[in-house]
Amino acid sequence: MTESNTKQHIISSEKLEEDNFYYRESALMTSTGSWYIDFENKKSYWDDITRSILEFPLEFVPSLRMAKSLYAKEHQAFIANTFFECGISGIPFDVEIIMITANNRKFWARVIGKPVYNSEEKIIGVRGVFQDIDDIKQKEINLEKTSDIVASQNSRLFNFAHIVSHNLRSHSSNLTLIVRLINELNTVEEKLELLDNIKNVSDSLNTTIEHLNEVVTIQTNSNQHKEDVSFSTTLEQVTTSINQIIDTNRATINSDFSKAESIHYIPAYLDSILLNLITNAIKYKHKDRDPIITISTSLDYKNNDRIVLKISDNGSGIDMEKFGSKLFGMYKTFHYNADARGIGLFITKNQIESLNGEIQVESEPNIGTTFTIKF
Amino acid sequence: MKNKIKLACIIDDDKIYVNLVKKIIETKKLCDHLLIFKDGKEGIDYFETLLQNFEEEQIPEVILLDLNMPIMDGWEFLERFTKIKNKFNNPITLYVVSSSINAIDIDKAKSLSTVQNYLIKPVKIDELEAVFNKTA
Repeated sequence: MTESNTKQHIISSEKLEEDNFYYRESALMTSTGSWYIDFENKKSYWDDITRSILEFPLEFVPSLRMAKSLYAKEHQAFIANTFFECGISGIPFDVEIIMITANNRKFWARVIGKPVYNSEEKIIGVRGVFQDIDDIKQKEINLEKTSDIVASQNSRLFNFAHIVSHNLRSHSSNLTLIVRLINELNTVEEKLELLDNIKNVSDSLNTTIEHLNEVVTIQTNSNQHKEDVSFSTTLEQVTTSINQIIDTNRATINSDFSKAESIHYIPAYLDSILLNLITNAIKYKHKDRDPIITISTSLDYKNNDRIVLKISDNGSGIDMEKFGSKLFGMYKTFHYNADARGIGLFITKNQIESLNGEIQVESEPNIGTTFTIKF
Repeated sequence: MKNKIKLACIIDDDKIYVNLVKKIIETKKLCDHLLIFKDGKEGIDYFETLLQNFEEEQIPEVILLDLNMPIMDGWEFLERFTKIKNKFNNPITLYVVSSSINAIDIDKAKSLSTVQNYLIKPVKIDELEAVFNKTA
């Protein structure tokens, strides 16, 4: 080796060390660990930063078999498929998923991977990085939640403005019409006859304003005091209060709250939700059979064990294709029942949504209806 | 005035409005008889049944149709009515009368060939007179 050669060698080795230092620094600072899965030797390799992100000891040797356990249950199938596609078809990936550390801590990670080819263009492994993005992801999720809340509040507000303008308009237009007619009529007797109409308009105007007021109360009450409310106790209170309706209609109510016995909720809302849905089920019973109402709770394990309440009946059902979109609207009634006022389901939906829940309905004419509430 | 309208038809769920229009029609003697249906379903049932076997005096010359109604709204009535209206020997003039001032509703209704015009509630009395006189 000549002198200049040696010098060059020293410089490049210094350079290499310097590069290494920078790579390590950026990997540490961005919490990015590298890994490699070797298909030929059926082994996987981690660098120190991967071990530290995943909270494994430095001397830990990873195995292919344990790979699945690094990912949250709900993402295991997805990540297995992603790795498979990369290993078989050479599709590189860049995904965000929940990983689990050796200490059983869950965190959001960005996983980037690409295939490694040998000289014969055959895929012999997959290489890539894990990056801990939990901080950013949590912020993103919170932001999404906030934006969802704002969007749903906005849409309820818009809906409310629409209801106000529409429902008040029909009354004011009737009043105008009465005035026009009074001017048109000649005799006092005829004019006096119209007074009855004014009374009717004023009555329905009052009812509408009471209903609107109920809705406003829901919106402002959603930060009302929540407590642990028992489903069975609430159901008992509701059935006691409508005992007579249940008896005269020979309605049977079956309930099973074993999967979730209570919920942290505004007691008055749970009461009103159950009351509305049960009276609805009885009101729209099938003409050929006595109403049977089944109420149960469950946990949605896909959704952070969110409590789900189902209320099914064997009633006359609703033609969802025709009325589905209007079912929860104000003053929408679909039956000839004289006591249909088209306010119950609207209130129920508003109460549920004001506490960030959802209500869905499935129904078939002549079979029955099922309401599903995700709290 | 030429021939006075014999039979007119109101399809509307607002009882107060229906009473008032009835009163105007009576006072102004705009037509002889009035059919009243409280939603689109009752209305279309009448016309569809009539189709089987009708006499001329059972067919209204004018229909005043509301849009926002329970069970069957005005839009669905229009859809079904358009399919059968030509099977009646006499022309039937249909006006939409709604409290909706939504431009989408108004444009949509006016674009339909079945709809003669769109009247916004509260209707003016001379507007109503014009409807009956034009048709007569």
